Amino acid sequence: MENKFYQEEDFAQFLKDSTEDFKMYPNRRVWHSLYKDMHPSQKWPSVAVCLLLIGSIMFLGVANNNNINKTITATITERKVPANTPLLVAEATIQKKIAVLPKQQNAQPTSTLNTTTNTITIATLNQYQEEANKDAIISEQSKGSSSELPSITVSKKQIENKLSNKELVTNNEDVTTASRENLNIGINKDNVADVKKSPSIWAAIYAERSFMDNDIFYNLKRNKSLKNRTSLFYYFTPSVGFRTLKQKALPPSGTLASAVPLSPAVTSPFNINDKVSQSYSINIEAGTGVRYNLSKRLSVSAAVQFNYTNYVSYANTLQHIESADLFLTSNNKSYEVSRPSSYANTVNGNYTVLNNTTIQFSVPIGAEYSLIAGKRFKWNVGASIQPGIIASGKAYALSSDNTHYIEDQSLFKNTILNSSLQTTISYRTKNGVSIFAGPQMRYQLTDTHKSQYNYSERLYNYGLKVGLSRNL
Amino acid sequence: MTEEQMLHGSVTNDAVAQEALYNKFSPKMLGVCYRYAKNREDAEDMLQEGFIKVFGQLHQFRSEGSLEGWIRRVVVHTCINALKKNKKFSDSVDLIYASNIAVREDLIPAIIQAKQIVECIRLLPIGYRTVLNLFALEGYSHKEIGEMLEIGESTSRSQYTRARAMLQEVLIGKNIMYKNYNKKYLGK
Repeated sequence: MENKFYQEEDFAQFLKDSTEDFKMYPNRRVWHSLYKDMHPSQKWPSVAVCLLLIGSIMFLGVANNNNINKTITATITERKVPANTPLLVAEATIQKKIAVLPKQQNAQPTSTLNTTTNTITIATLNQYQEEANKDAIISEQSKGSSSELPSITVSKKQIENKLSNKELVTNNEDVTTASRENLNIGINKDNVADVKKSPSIWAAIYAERSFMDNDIFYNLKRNKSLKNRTSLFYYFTPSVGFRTLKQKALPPSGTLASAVPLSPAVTSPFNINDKVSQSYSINIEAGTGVRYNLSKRLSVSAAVQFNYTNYVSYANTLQHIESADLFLTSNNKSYEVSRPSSYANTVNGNYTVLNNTTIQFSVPIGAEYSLIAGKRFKWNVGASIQPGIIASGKAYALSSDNTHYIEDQSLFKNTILNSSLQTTISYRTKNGVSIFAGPQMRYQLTDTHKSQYNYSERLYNYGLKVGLSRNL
Repeated sequence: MTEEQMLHGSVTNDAVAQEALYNKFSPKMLGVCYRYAKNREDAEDMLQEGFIKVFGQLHQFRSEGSLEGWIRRVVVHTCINALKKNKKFSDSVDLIYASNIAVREDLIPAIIQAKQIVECIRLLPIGYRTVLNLFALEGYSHKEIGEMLEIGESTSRSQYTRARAMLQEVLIGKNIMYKNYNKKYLGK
């Protein structure tokens, strides 16, 4: 019994000693989840992406709405409505419901008049014009609501008579205010005789009409000018992406946070690009934006853009996960931390291709100058600055002795700044759509990784930018 | 970064210190979790849950014992709580159920010693394994184990006896135990 007990304790000790130093290296996602759980305020990149997407959707919605308005305007313009068309828009001017025409019960009335969206106004005016040609009587729709809405009952003859009285429509500025007050009195078939006798009311009506004309067509001209200068563009840029890697300067001596001496590879300067085997890969960039022409040749633009970047490193996959040291610098103090590694920085036999990818969202702000600005052909040169965020990706960092690759997404910076240079040739088709294409170079101005990482990585791409644009 | 710096930084929610602390202890703690878990993924979930508790309760650590020992106790309790949520685990503390499960020795991977022994332990039914882990490797008494697992003290003792016999059989069969057991502990 005693022997049995002895063996029992001994067995437990044997197990304990045997497994005491047993270690397993957790996947980095465990730390990422842990980090997010402990620091929820660091979730702003995902919030920023959501805001960007919502902004893009809203922007596209507005742009599409403008296109619809433009179509309506074009249709109405074809009818060639004269600028001085007789208009009885008094009720519209006082911002109340517009009458439903008695002979036009099926027609859709325009509920309000918005002087800034000239298309609807013109439609309404055109409607009145057609009805006048048919000897229509324009009246207020609901007698029951006469207390709110002024009624107007005027025959065609009366209209023509009053239109011939040019004196009444000359002093627009002086009578506009008076006209609004007068219109508030209300005109209906019961007091039309009084109206006929009262030139001041008619003066008010026509003055108001003239005021409306001016306002509508002034806005039309202004909006037309804005639209002619503003265009919406979409683009897509397949490219090849590379990187440059540079060793950062070490902090001053004596600032090592680690008690263990650093690897000689860290402390001795060398060209890191000689120590790694890497190559280009396919990258993609796509976006949409708005361009505003400051002059015939110069324009500025803003866009939202999606970037997929990639380059490849070659390595050998290890049979078992190994521990590797990562050299980091924080608060001007350097130290090495152990990380699990599955890849050796060697290229022998069946090597593995490591895709170093990032998914980025950015807001390019740029300018473009036309070297040749023909009627249909243009040759443009442009540049842009692209602040953005890294939403996700895969990073393989080099260990401090450069013998291992360590997969660690937490090294990614949250924000990034790119720049681009491009030259494009554009051709404007008959339907107003411009097609443009040309080479583009994009260079990353800030590091991909956080400042703690010992190496400075800059990505650059050479691609072909292809896109469409059309005026709003 | 020293352990004291890591401890102080982690209490003040410094991400760099927290990461350093995690990097230092997570490999060993994952090894602990792995002995209790069904697979590696479950072990990583337990580890994550355990470290959330560690960072949440780190201000309670009084530096009376080792930090590693304190973290280990928090992680082990997390593992036990995770296991108790599993209906299968509750069933497996039944001796009859557990004793009918055959050990599949062919599942033992032929790699390094510590890993071999851990994999042998993991071959045991989960109820046996948990009691063996807690008693032999974590140093809890059968009374404490009974309270933790909500089983009787005698049940814990019986489970351990059977677990030990089963594990010895596997280790001897694999020529793992004799080699170390005799040389190091019995001097044979």
